[in-house]
Formats: sequence, structure tokens, C-alpha cells
Amino acid sequence: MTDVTIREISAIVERARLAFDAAESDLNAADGRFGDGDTGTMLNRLASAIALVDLKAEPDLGSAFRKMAAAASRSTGSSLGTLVMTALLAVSKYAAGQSTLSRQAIPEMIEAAATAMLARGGASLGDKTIVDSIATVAGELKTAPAVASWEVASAASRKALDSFRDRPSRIGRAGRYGNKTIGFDDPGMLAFAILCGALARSNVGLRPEEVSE
Amino acid sequence: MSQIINSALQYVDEMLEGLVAANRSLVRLGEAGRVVGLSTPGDRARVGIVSGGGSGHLPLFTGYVGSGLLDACAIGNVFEGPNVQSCMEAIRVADRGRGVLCLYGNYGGDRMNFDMASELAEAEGIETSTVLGIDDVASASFDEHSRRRGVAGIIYAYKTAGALAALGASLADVTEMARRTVERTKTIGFALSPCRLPGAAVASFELAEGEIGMGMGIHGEPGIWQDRVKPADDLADEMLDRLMAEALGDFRRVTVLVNSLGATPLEELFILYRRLARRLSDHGVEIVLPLVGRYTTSMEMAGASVSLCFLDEDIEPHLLAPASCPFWTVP
Repeated sequence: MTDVTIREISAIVERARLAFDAAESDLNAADGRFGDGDTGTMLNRLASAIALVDLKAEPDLGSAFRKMAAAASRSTGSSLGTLVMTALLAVSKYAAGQSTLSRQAIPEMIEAAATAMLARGGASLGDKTIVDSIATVAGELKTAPAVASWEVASAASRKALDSFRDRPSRIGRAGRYGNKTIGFDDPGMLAFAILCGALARSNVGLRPEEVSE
Repeated sequence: MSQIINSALQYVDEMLEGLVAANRSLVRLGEAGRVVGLSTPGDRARVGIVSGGGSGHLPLFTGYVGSGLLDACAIGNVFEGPNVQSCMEAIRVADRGRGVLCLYGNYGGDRMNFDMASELAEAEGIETSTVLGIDDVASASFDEHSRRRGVAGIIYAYKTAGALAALGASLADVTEMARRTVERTKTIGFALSPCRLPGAAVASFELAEGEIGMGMGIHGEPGIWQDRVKPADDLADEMLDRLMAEALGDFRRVTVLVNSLGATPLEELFILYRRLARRLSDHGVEIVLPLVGRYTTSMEMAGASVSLCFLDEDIEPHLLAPASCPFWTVP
């Protein structure tokens, strides 16, 4: 992970599209335990819609994220999809007018997204939602901002998944199953771990001169 | 069960195209065509009422756009909330200059998108209010009733709030009528077989042949118990007991909706209704305007729900006021 410009965002978006295309059936299966089994299909549709947005002409990161949020919103009104849109709107505000975001600013930007998602969705930290994963990633990146990387983010997202697996879901449809959700991954948390893992493996976000040949 | 579709991606839009083609009173609106409004809305200033939600539940929600009912509806993908753009457009369509009531079921995606749309509408100078359908008694305890899901019983709030709006009442009064009707309406349902999302390989939940899921929601949400199916009268008795236990204060008159979740035939609904009517009569309770049929479904899911609205002197006249939409006419 390095300074972020629109070029990095475009690469991340494309990698996310591929990751959610590949993970569609796994995420549907994870959602099928306590939901209606469409999280994978919804996220694949959402990621594809965002990938279709041409970001090259956007003047700054704020407007790029705003365009991505609009594309996300057009593709779905599901609760997880709406939370993704809310996160994109929050980072759009955070990055308004800026063409580059420093590595050090990224944890704070991710935190801003998590705060907005909690406010919109009504969940709290600890409810076993995607926001628990995002907050964990922001926290881990913050402890070592100079070496913040997708590897750190990926490990943190896995750590969140592992530490919440044996806790009950406390909100939304899964929340109504209570203790029956113990032992199972929340599909939103799993989706975020899949995304971070894919970004770690691909090294997107690294500038060409930093990529070791 | 095989599905009659062309493509899963086109399911909602082709359904809406057919719905408005078959019903001249309705028109598709909005940038993505995900709003349904009245083709002749009239220009009299009054409070507008919008609803919205995921597809897969017809006649809910879109089918209740009509005179004395909803002014507009925002439509989401199957089992997904409508997006903020469609909610915003539906509010604009419903706006007749005296404010707009957003009246929809208590689900995360619907709530987030309508909340955002309401904030945007307020910024445009359209006053809004919100009432959430929370009639499903099986979805949370009485103490936590604000966490309950909204299911078939919301149509009574459409009806009474719509009737009051048609009389020219204020947004505050229309909102209060909707809130009061929601408060006095209770529903419980059961599933006998699951549905399958369009194009999906597997059903949205598992229920073995001969099993019943009592209290399940209209997306297959968990219920109260699952067991071998029982005789109709036993099911009717349990459902009625659970609904009557929620009655607020004294009541002598109720309205009853026996609703098919999709695949369950009218014959079985009438067998349930027969028992419910007899039991209510034994209690000295009079039934007003009973409804038996498909009013809120989950595509091809088999099962039924029973809704009771405990009437009072404010609600009943508005329930009985004339109204008309493609799926429900009160003459």
C-alpha cells in the first residue's frame, strides 16, 4: 500500500471485480445459512457496476469515489450494498479536492468509512458485521502507518473473521438467529476478507517503481 | 419448481413492464424505471404516501398504488431494498405539496435508502415523515416490537392513511393514522416450502417435504418452531391465539387477512378462514371486511399468513372508505 491516486483506485476496483466474480458462489453459500443466499450475486453485480465507471477523467479522488458510490447505489438497495455506498460517500468526503492520499492518511479514511456505516446502518461495533472487519483493519494499519500494506490489511481482516466466528450476530437478519450464528462467518466480514486477500496477492496500489521485478 | 423467466437480470424490469401494461392506472417512472406511480394523479394539494421494498412479494408493494392508497412506490431487486435514487424519485412523484409519508417495512436496506432519500427530499423542501411496518409477531418479542419485521399487515396502514390523505388531512394526522394502524395490526405466517431467487440454483432456505416452519418471514427468515405439518384447525388456533395475545385493550371488531405466500391455493386459505371466523365469533368478535387471497407473497413459496387489525372508531371508517388499486378495491 502506498500513496493513493486515481490510478491505484482503478487498479483496486478491477481487482475487486475479479475477486467478487470468483467468490460469488462462496459468498452466496455463506449468506444462505441465515440469509436469502444472494450476497455473492449482489456484490458481484455491485463490483462490476463500479468497474464500469470511467475514473480517468475525474479531477480528484473525492469525485472519483462519489462516482463509484453512485454506481454502487444504482446497482442495489440491499443493506450491505447500501453500506458499501455509504462507505464510498464517506471516503469521497474525506478525499474531497485531493489528487493524492498519503499512506498515513489511509487508516483514518477507512475509519471515516466505518463511522459513516455505523451511523447509517444502526449497528454497533461488536455486532458481527462488515464494520467490525473494517474497524479492525483501520486499527491495525494505524499501529504501523509507515509500513501499512495490503498484507497487513489482509491479515487484520482474517483476524477479525477468526475472532468473531464464535460470537453471535446481533443485528439484521442473522441477528435474529442469535446463538445459532456462533461458529459461522458473517458474509459481509467474509467478503471484506476476500477483498483484502485479493489486494494483498495482487500488490495493486503499489506504484510501478516500487514493484520488485 | 420451474420458473418462467427470460433472464434473472431482467426479472424485475420485465415484471414491471407487464404490470403497467396490464394496469392502465399505473405508470413506470424514474431514471431506471424503478418507480411506479398513478397515470392520472390529480392535482389537488394533499399529503402523498410512498412505499417501497424489494421485488418478489406482489401485490406488495407496487400493487397498492391506487386511489385512496399509495401514490408511488420505489422498487428494488428481488429481496433487496430500492436504491436511494428510486426512493427519492418516488417521494417526488408522491409530493402534492403537503408533505410525504414514507410507509414501508422494517428492513435494513429499505430503511437506509428511504432515510437518505428523506434527507435529500427535505433539502429540496419536501417535508417527509416515516412509519415502519412491524406487524410480524414472530420476528421479535412484544418488548422488542420495534425490531419486528413488516409483512402483509402493512396494507391496512396503506388503506387507513390513504383514506385520511384523500380527505385532505395534514401530514402529522396521516402519519399518526398510519402509526396507530401499524400498532393495532399483528401478523403471523408459516412456510410449507421455500422459494428460489430467480436464476438461483438452490432454494433460499431448506424445509423438508411435510414440514412446516411456523413464524417464518417472507424471505424465509427463521420462525418459532419447525415440525411436521398439523391439521388446518390446529394451525389456525395457534396463530389466532398468538395474535389475540397481542391485542391492545378492549376490542369488539377486527379485520382479518388470510394471505397466501404464493403457492398455497385459495381452497386452503378458506379452510383456515373458516376456523378463524368461527373462533372469533365464539369470542364475540365481529369481523369487518375480511380478505382472503394473495396480498403479500414470496414468489412460489408455499404457506400463508394471518393478519388481524384490532379496529377502533378512528381506524374503521378509514378502512371502509372507498379505494381502488389493481389488487384491492373497497367499493
